[in-house]
Amino acid sequence: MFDHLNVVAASVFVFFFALVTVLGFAASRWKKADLNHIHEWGLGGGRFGAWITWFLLGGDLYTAYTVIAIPAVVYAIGAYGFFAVPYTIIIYPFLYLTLPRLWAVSQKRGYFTAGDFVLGRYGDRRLELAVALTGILATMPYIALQLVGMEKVIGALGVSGEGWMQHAPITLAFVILAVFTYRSGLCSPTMIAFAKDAMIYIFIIAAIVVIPYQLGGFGKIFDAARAAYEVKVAAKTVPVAGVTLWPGQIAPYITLAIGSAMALFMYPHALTATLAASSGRAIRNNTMALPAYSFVLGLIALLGAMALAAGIRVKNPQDAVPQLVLWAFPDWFAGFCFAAIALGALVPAAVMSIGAANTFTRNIWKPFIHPQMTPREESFLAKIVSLIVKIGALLVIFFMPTQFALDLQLLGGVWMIQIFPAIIFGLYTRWFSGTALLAGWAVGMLVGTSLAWGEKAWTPVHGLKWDIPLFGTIDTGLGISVYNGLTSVLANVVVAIVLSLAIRSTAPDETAAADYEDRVIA
Amino acid sequence: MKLLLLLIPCVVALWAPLYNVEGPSLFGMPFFYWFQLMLIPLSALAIFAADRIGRT
Repeated sequence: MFDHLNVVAASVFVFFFALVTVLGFAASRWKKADLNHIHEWGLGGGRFGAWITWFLLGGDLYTAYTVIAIPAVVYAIGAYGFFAVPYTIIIYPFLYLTLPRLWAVSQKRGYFTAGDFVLGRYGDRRLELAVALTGILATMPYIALQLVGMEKVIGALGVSGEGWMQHAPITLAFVILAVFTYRSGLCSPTMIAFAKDAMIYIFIIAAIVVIPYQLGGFGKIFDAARAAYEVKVAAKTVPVAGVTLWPGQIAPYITLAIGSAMALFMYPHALTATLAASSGRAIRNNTMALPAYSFVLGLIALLGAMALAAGIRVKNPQDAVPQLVLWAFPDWFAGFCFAAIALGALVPAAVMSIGAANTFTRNIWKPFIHPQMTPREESFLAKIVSLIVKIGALLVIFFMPTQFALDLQLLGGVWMIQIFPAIIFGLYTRWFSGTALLAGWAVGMLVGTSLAWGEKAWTPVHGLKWDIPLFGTIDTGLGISVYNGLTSVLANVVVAIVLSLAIRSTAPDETAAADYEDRVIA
Repeated sequence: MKLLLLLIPCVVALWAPLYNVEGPSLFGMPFFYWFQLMLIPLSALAIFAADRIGRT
């Protein structure tokens, strides 16, 4: 299994991994608290200031999978992969307006999860359950993909194996992760995020200076990339690819950016990291500071074009970045970069498992199975669930083809966006009724999933022309393709509006207008 | 005004036909790439400005 091992790179990799393990254990002594309470274990006691939140959210949202997958798209088809940039631009003005409201009401009423908020706002247990299940369902494949990111870099170190041994390194890494998440909750990924983010910044600054220098500048990089895309299109290995977008790619580019932005903060891990903030101010400051990560992500995306220019030809585009790193850097620094990417998998995987565990405990187990849980029991259950979720993700990697995990993650975004109306509209109005939102959610899930269904593979976009069984074909005649998440959430909203008009809600709303304001007006 | 400041970067970022061109390039990087990259810090500045207005 170590026949082709790159000894120098692997040693550096292991060193940084060990360092971070020490940090993870140190986290249990940091911010001393009673970890037998779920608020402490699962939300860090809500005491994270602006700086800590910045590292945690940055580490949580800009994941290892992103570092591998976004440049992989640029490597494969070019400009289209840059959709991550408008996506991460539009998200922050939106979050600036909405998240402080969600934080304020959660603080006031003791909410930990999206499900908690929905229950308080609409007084509807079924809607709470729908929101909770959606979150857990979408998170599982996302955790699994973090492992894919990690396996890519471990593979690039020259570690290979057959059968069970193939997954031995990530299993080990995950056991370490599971132990310190169990012990110190949200504090451990936060502590690791400091180290990991610093390492990612060093990696990317070095890459963006050294690689263009080696390749003779950006002009040459893009010339080479353009030629490579032309070859691919001519050989029909991909339908379209280019340094700029093809006309048919423009609508998908825009709608994918909008839909991804709408879905991102519906995920339990994004909300967990947000609600752990100590104030609405900390969140607002972060909407101005987090674009720094977006900028880095934009630079990372360019690595895809650089890999083409460097003459790297890999069958699986996801190998492009690891191979580029090996091509461009001395072994010791490649080991450092790989450690940064692998740690970039641990942070989100930990926060995701905590987010899913909080959701399961608060919104599924407690209301439906065991309503009289004490905080201590809640905390214990959440810890156990976080372990189960991680084991589940490992099993996904062991037994499921990677392509299937990728498809599920893609569908995850389409599913997650369906709780957008209940959460975001709910921050401003109680006009919608719980039943209507639930029906809208169900329609959106169905529409989104069926649009993604394809003969050969799941697809993220679909033309505005639909063949509906037993009904016929509807053709809008616009001739453009749109991200399924966006189409389906529109159907969701229409259903929610119509039904809210028809059925007025009589359920109680435990929140008051003032709960949503975090600013104390002097 | 505050909402407008938050809205402008979003509209520009999503207006793909506006920047879907090769030139003018900067340090050899096509317009498509450097324009969007530049838009990231500008959008952060817009939020900062909106925040300042909101606070007074």
